[in-house]
Amino acid sequence: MSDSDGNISEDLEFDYDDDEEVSFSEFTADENEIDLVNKFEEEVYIKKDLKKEAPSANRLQARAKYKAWSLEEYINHFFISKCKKLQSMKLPNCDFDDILIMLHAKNWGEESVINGCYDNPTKFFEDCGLPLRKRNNTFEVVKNFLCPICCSDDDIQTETYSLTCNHKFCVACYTRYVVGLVHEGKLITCPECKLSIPHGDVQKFVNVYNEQQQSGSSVLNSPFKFVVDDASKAFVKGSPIKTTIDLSSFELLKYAAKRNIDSNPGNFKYCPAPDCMHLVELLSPAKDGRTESENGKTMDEENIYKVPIVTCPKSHEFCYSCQFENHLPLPCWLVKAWIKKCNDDSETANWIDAHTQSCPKCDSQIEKNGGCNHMTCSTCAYHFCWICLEEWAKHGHQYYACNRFDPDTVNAAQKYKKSKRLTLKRYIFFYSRFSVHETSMEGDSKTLKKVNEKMTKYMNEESKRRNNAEVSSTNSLSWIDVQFLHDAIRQLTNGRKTLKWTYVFAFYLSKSNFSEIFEQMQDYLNKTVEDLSKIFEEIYAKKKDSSNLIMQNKLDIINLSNLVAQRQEKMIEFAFTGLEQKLLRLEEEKPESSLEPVQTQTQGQTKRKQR
Amino acid sequence: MSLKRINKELADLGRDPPSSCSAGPVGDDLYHWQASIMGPPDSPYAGGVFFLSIHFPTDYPFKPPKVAFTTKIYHPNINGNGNICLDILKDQWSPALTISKVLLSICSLLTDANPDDPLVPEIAHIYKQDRAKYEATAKEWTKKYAV
Repeated sequence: MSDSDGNISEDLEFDYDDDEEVSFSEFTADENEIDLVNKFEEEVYIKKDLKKEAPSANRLQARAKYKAWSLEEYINHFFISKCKKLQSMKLPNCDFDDILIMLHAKNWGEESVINGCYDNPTKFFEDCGLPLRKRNNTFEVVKNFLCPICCSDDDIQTETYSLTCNHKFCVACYTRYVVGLVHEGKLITCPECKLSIPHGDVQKFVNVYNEQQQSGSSVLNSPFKFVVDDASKAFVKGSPIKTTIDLSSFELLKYAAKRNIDSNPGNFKYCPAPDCMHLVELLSPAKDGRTESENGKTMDEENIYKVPIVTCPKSHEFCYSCQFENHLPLPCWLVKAWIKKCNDDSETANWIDAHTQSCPKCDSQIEKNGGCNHMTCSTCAYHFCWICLEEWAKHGHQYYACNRFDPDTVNAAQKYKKSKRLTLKRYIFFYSRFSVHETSMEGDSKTLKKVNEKMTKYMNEESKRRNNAEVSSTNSLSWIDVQFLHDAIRQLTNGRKTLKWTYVFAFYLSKSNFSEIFEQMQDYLNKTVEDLSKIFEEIYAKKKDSSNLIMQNKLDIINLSNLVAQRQEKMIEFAFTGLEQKLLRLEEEKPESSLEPVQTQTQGQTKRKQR
Repeated sequence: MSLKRINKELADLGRDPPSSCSAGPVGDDLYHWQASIMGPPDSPYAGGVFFLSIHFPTDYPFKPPKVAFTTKIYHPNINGNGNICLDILKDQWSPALTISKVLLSICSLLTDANPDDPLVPEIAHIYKQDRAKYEATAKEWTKKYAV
């Protein structure tokens, strides 16, 4: 964010004169009140990003070219549009639901669906779990029904569901069954046979479940919900559910999309913000962070230090490469090392270390809770051996011993221990500063929210008063007048974030004359950020008339936030030029410095094995 | 809910018992059963009786029961602790399956082992390379532990 913030605020002021609403949405988004973000605002953000991209001639920051996707857009683009295309081709004997099932069964490959339909339709239909005769999925109320799953026959009338195979189960059991499987993102079949349940019907069950969760009643307690409910009469009568609802909101399709992305990510990555289901696709593969960290050895030094910062459709800013918050000026591989290091000291990490291993393919943490050592990663479906973490296929074909002893790992273990002891003090020094800023960031965001609330309240009252009296007094403010506050708030958070990461940067920085300049700059940034933060704190602390205080401090706030922006920018620039020209050197802890920095990824695993 | 279903299965087992197996609760706890399987005649396990323990999860039948051999058995898909590598006991479980179907599947696993997806690679290796040796060992184990 840092390099072009000055420009943005100028741009915004222009926007602002034309349209007050734009600035208001700007205001809420800063507070990350994502639920308030609407389409319109997203557009504003896209515009803003374009603006941001233009001045980022600053090659150091490597602002990546990317496209922000929402999960719904992804579903529409990769699933629904394919389905519509196939529908328009008039495949024999297929309606929309059938095609959706076929595509899902064939991993969304259009080719294989077309081929299957024409080559051997009977076998293809069977493969996809589609009935050969006309589909007859029914919801109906049956008298004295004994459900084979729950075996309860207390009710005189039971709602049931069945596919064309006519395997009837009660709706309560079906709901539980479907809800238990939907998160796997695979087609869900009849519990008894291989027929697939259409996506629309799956969604019905999911809706039923959600409703029941909301009303707090269990599935069993209210089995007659639909019969009584007017809206779901069609549901019971057995009319095929028309997929007039927005398909992209289907839970099963969402999980299918996730599954698709997990097993074949391409250039897609999830936004790491909690509860944010959006994606970012990197368009300039040369700057792909993933290839950097994986083939880092062959890439030139310069690329290792690039940090591709992207923004998701809900305006969460993150680093594409490591899916972490904007961590400039620290390069990704050190962020990874740092987080690993910090987590090493927590109890949770100890537990994870002792009880889980990461999937050798996708790095998901896996806990084995029983059964055999043939593991299938639920994220990427990779088959591997729990003992040696090698591919499982090796074990099957020839006799493969996975219990070889490797003395190298033991030596490395001792080195690692020694290094930890040596650097512990240094680590604690920097860590405490890092965490102090982290907590300050949280404190800041609280303060800022309060200040923002005060301001909004004040402005609303003001506008009311003005509307009533229709007299604009000289000291009343307009939204334009307080725009500076929003910019300052954003700047403070950003500055604090950069400052936080500079301490980690300093931790890995080897000492030289240039590192002292770095520390000096860090000191300046620190001071400015604290000054700005203090002003907000004062405004927050003052109970009455805080808006006057804001106006009194307007000049200070503007100056300081500009100063923060400048110093932040200089700091990042210095860090990166320093790294590029090899004036600054980052290295991992001493005994490990012989390792290539890019090996941090595998390092985690070695450490684990050694224990 | 699970109790009702377990009771129903128990009743069905009593009414129409499968030919080569039996199952029932160990004590008062209906969630803990013991089962026995007779070694299929066309397998090296013929003549043996193998005991299994069955633990029902509380969310049965939406989650599979935990089934394990308590009798030692020499088989590529069953390890020393009696754990069974069988798809329907893991990700292929369906609430429409019953204990009697599971036991029948285990019976057919005894007849036709699945050496391509082994739980004990050593046994699978012998099974594929030297079938006679595998059968001899399996017979020997059956005689030793299951008769």
